[in-house]
Formats: sequence, C-alpha cells, structure tokens
Amino acid sequence: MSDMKEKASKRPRIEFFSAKYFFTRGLELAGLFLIAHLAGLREYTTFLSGTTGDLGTSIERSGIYGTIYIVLYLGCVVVAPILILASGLLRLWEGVRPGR
Amino acid sequence: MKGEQEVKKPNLWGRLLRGFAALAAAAAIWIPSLHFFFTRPVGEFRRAGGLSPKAEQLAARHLQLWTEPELKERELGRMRVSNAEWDFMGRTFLVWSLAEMGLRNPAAKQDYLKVMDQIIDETLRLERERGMYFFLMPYAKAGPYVVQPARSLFLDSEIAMMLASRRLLEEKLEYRPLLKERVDLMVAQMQRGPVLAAESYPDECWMFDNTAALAAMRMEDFLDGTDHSVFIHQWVVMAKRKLTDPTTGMLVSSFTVDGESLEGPEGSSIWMVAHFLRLADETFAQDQYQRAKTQLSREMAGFAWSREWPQSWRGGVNVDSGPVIPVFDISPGASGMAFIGAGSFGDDDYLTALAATLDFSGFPSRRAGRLKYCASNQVGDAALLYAAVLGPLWDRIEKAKP
Repeated sequence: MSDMKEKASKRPRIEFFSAKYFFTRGLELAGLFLIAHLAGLREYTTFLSGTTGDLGTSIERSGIYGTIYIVLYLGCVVVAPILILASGLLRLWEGVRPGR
Repeated sequence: MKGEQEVKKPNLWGRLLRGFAALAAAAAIWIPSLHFFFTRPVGEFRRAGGLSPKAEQLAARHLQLWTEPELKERELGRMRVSNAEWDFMGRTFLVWSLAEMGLRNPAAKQDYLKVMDQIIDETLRLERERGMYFFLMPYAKAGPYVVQPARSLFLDSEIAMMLASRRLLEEKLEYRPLLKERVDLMVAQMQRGPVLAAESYPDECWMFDNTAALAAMRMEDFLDGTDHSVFIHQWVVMAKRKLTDPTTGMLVSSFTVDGESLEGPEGSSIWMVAHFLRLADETFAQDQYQRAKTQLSREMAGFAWSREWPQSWRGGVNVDSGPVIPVFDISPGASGMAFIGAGSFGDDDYLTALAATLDFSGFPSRRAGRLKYCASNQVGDAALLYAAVLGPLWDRIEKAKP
C-alpha cells in the first residue's frame, strides 16, 4: 500500500491546462468511448428512432445507454480531437519540439 | 514562500489564457473540418443508374430480415413495442424499394419479386385475419370513423402502392383485382368527404396518405388504362385552396374530414408528400419541395438536416418527428424523409450533406456486406433505402403521361 502511494507521489504531475493535460484528457475521452463501444452500447442509440435496443430492455433504459454512448461518441469525435489539436498548438507556442 | 505564490499565480492565469486560446483555435480548425471525414460523393448513396454501394448494403440487410424469420420477428417486435404502424411502413418502403431496385438491376429481379410477394401476401393475410387495427396505433379505436364503413387510408393507399409497384416491375394478374378494389375503395371514401380526403384515423386525415392514394391511382392508370385524372385535378385544386398553411404555403400534415387543420406543415410528412405529388401534379410537387427546402432544411459546417416544423408554427414531438434536438431543431423523422425529397427532386447537394450527417450521427454498423444504422430502426433504414433507389418507377409513369 505504501509502495503504491510512493509510486503515485513519484508520478510526474500534469499541469492543469498544459499541453500534456489536454493530450491526456483527449486520450481518456477516446478510451472511455472505446469501452462504451466494446460494451455494445451503440445498439441502444436506436432510442433516437423511438425504438428499444432489444425486446428485453425498456425504451427508458435504452435511452440511458444510448445517451451515454452518444455523449462519449461526441467526446471522442468532436472534443478529443480539439483537445489533442490544442495540445499540439500549445506545444508549438511553447516552442517545444516534437518528441522532446 | 509568499514570493513563490506570487510567481505561480500569473503562470496559472497565463496558462489558462493560452489554454483557452489554443482550445478556441483548435475548435475553429476541427469543427469546420469534421464533415470532410463523413462527406462522400453522392454516388456512394444514390446513383442515376444501377445501385450505389450503400443501397446494396442496406438492401442486403433487409433481404436478410425476410429470409431469417427469427431476425425479422425480433426487428419488427422491437418496433411494434413503440408503434405498430412502423411494422407496416417497414414493409411498404421495402416493397417500393425492391421494385425500384428490380428496374435498376434486372439480373436480380426474380430474387426481389420473391421477397416482394412474400411481404405483400403476409401483409394482406395479417390485415385479413387481424383487421386493420393490427397495423394502427391504439388510438384508432378511441372513437368511430366519420365515414362508414370504417377504413384507414393509411393502409389502403400504401397497400395499393405495394401492389402497383410489384405489377410495374413484373405483371402479376392475381394482384390486378386487388389493386382495382383498393383504388375504387379509396376514391369512394375520398369523394364522400367535403375536401375529397379520407381518414387514416377517426376524423383524422393525413396528407401523407391522401397523396399516396393519388400516386396509387396514377399507377393504376398507367398499368390498367383507368383514368383518375379528373379526380386528381379536383383534389389538387381543393388542396391548394383549403389544405395549405397560409404563412408558408406548404400543405398541412393532418386535418379533419371537414378540412379543419389539425397539424400544420411537418417535415416528417411534407418531403414524402412532395414526392407522391410528382405523379399527380409535377409543378405543384416542385413548389412544395422548394417551400419545404426553404422552411425546413438547415445546413451547418457541411452537415444538413431537416426541422420538423417551420419557424412560423410549432407542433408537439410525436412518434413521427422522433425526439427533436433543441437549439438546432433537428428532427430524425423529418431528416429521414428529407432524403426521399432530395432524392426525388435530384437535389444532390442537400442529399450529400444529409448523407454526411447520417454517417456522423446515424451510427452505421456494417457486417458481412450488410449495413444498418443503429440510431435508426427497420422502417427508418427501409426509408433510407427507398431514397437511395427511387426514380425508375416514377420515370416510367411520367414518361407515359399524355
């Protein structure tokens, strides 16, 4: 337990609103979307057409699953690329060369 | 220590400022570019001749449904939980699509005919055995139909169009009296109302179904040499006078038997209405399409959609509109129907932008050459398939016009 605490304290701290911060948040969003996708939540977006994802699931539950998927999809497709682009722009502004 | 804090504070504000500026710049780059990842040439969705890749993939999925009974039961069952009408409309859109596909791809005609007959026969059997209410929403039983005996033009018009579409692809004599019977019944029901319109639900006439009835009449005229031109002309004159919204000039979507408007113009109705009207009065159809385009179509950052209502009128969200997304007023139901309008009127720019939106937000799922849109359902996908293939049937009928 104490080892874990020690490792965590040694982990480099990512500065809020830094290039690395944006890049990490972007990757996290993409990762969360991947989990939702692999969990099969895509099927439940059918609630948008007023249809349940499967006969054993209520339309309300389909709506919840589908909404989670849509939010994470938009996070991955719209927000994550913006965060990663912003990270790249910050690095450019900060004059950090790629790979440094 | 105090000195350190004084040094850090401006750093944080500076970082926030730089961060927000970077986010704003990144958004300004990414958001207008996003559509490039989803925009495809219009030929990917719809082609003048033959079948587009998407039409083939969508059709493969639907043909699978009608050859695997368990899958079909599951898909139709999911829709019937919300709306029994969708079960019916999924069938009609698919039969109309297969007729168009048979004309586009004669090599596969016999395969398509087999499925078309299967759908038509099963639909007629269900209507015969379980009655018209089987395919209607429960409120159909809430009151008596004004015109007796009770009939729903929703079923009659679309069944007539299914029969006619099948016969247009290849004659089937068995269906000839069935078509005549349906068309005669529709004309009789419509003539009994003061505005030449028949009910789909008790004292509720739908523009969608009344214009579908006109299209079915024109199809029968083409097939069997009947002549409904006088009735159709009278109907168009009446509709222009009594069934248009005074602000937009668009046809209203539902009204009473006496012609009193129930719902104003709606995107989930008008795009299809304009398509049906092409067989009744091409000029009026063009006029309605252009009005719908002005009032309902919206485009932003390369993506397009349809509103359910014009700015001047707002109705309630219902099963036809789907859940309307606020601010942008995006209606999934209206946007699906807009594909049919854009396809019918050769509006490739709008169709391309609609297709980009569909691929962005419709959550396509491809397996073994079969395509479905997860955000849609069987009837939605069948309507998209129809938009991707419609054309040859209407062209044949229009060319034969005197």
